[in-house]
Amino acid sequence: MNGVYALKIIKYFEVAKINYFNSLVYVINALSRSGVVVIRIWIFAQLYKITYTASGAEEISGLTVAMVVWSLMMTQSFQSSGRPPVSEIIDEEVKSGALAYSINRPYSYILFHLSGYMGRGTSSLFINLLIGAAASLILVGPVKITLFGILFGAVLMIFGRLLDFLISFIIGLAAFWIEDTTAIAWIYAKGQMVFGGIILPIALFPDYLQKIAEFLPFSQLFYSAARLIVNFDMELFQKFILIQFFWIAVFSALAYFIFKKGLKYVTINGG
Amino acid sequence: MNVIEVKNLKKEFQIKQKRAGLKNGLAFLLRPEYKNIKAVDDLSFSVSRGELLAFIGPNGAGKSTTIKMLTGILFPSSGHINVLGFDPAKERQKLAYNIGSVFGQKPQLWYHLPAIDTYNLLARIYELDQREYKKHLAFLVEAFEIGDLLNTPVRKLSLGQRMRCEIAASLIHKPKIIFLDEPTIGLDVVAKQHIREVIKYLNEKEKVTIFLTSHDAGDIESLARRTIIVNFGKIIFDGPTENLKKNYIKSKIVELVTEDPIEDFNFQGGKIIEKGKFDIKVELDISKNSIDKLLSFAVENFNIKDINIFDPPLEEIIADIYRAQKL
Repeated sequence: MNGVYALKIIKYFEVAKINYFNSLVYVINALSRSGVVVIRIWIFAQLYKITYTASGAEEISGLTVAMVVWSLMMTQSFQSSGRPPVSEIIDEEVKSGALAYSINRPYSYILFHLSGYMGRGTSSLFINLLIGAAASLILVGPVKITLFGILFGAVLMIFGRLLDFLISFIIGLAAFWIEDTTAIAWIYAKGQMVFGGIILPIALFPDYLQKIAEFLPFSQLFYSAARLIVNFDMELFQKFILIQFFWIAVFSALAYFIFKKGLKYVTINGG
Repeated sequence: MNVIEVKNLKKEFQIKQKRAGLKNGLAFLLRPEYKNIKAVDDLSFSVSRGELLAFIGPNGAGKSTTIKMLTGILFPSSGHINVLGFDPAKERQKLAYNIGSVFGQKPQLWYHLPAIDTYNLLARIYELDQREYKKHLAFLVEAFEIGDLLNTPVRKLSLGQRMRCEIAASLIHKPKIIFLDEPTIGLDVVAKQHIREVIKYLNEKEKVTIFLTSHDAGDIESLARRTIIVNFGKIIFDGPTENLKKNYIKSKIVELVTEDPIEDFNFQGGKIIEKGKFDIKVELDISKNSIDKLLSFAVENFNIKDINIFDPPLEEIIADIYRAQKL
């Protein structure tokens, strides 16, 4: 019996592996994405240095300039390694008709895409973090990162990626009904930009807005992990992980329900 | 024993209808109009184990939709399907272990990676015993002559090479039925021949049931013992492929080679389709004229050196059937 389960798990590991190797073909793409992260960090470093100097504060909401820049670097690195989004891949599968193969194999379609997403992002995640960390070190110097920060931050990062996958997967499934999902994906990307700590750490929001933003799923995708790594706080970890679990439960149920429903509506282009 | 049973199968699609122009575009946003399309309209047929069936029809006839319902990708609007004892719409995953499919225009191999990587992945996906898989792969490599191609990135392969690798990929898990949707599309004559030989081998030696759609009459003529023709979602012919010729031939082509030059050939009821100095090809409508009359005319007017009588190519017969349905 254990052997049967092992075979079922191995297949998803293999899907992640082939996606990982395939992503290595696009190493130039990964490097150029890292380049974009570096340019953004440089801009933010200048911006936040001026802002902090103007306000005369060393710390705002417990974060120094260096912490802000490091946290933005990590948030952007995590986000960038999720490219191309699953929504784009499913949308393309429906348009090209490749869905005829991908949907018709003996695996869970959701887990197949989740494994692919995890495998694809691994190489670019490490490249982004490596290049981003070097750039941050040069621009604002080091920040004190603890082992606890890394360990608990990694847990939040994994669940954050899962949450990003689920939302993107649901957007992709919309292709079963509508012709193009790019408009919905665009709204999701903008939500991340405003409430996801991509350009402004949520810790710097006014109190009431911070409370709202922290509860929204956008902040739990990439920001929560970055925030915890640069300034570890056990209470914050507990709060973030509970919010993540809540949204993962909501979006998992939605993804399952929409997929089951969508299968009946699927049409495959080109005959 | 039947491996596929289809009864009263129907599939309807709703397609948005948008008229040209800005005004119509805005009206469409507020009140979209839909048109109901009957892609498959009351199909019933069965396929026995080990059969090699050609399932053909013009573009939009409902062939691919039928295949996608048989493999569980699309849900039927109504009707009943049984493939190897499974209902594809409800037991898609269980069925997937037992069937293979090749959609000629859609790749399943990873474009940037060598085919062997996709094969290894598929072996895991189908939960194959690794020793059995290696043995079967060796067989496929030999049968498809793809030994030299295994480690080349798929993007570097020619279309013919890629198609051989694609078909091999769909056989990794030893399926009992394989659905081939246009497997020879876009291939040159030699590559087509190669694919046909492999399909024949699979059917005859490996006893794999083959459900083939193709627009290439050569595929049908050289492979399929039975043909189903569909048009407008309905079956218009179901029988032995050789009966297609017997039942639907309306003309014969008569080739005459003469001792003397042919100046004029005034035979009423015959259409000259090719003419040389000492030879001529005439297409004869056999419902209106007999070959006997044509030959008498030829013998009376020329010194005949040789006579050949041909059936028109299968392609033309099929085209006539499609055209007759349109009228």
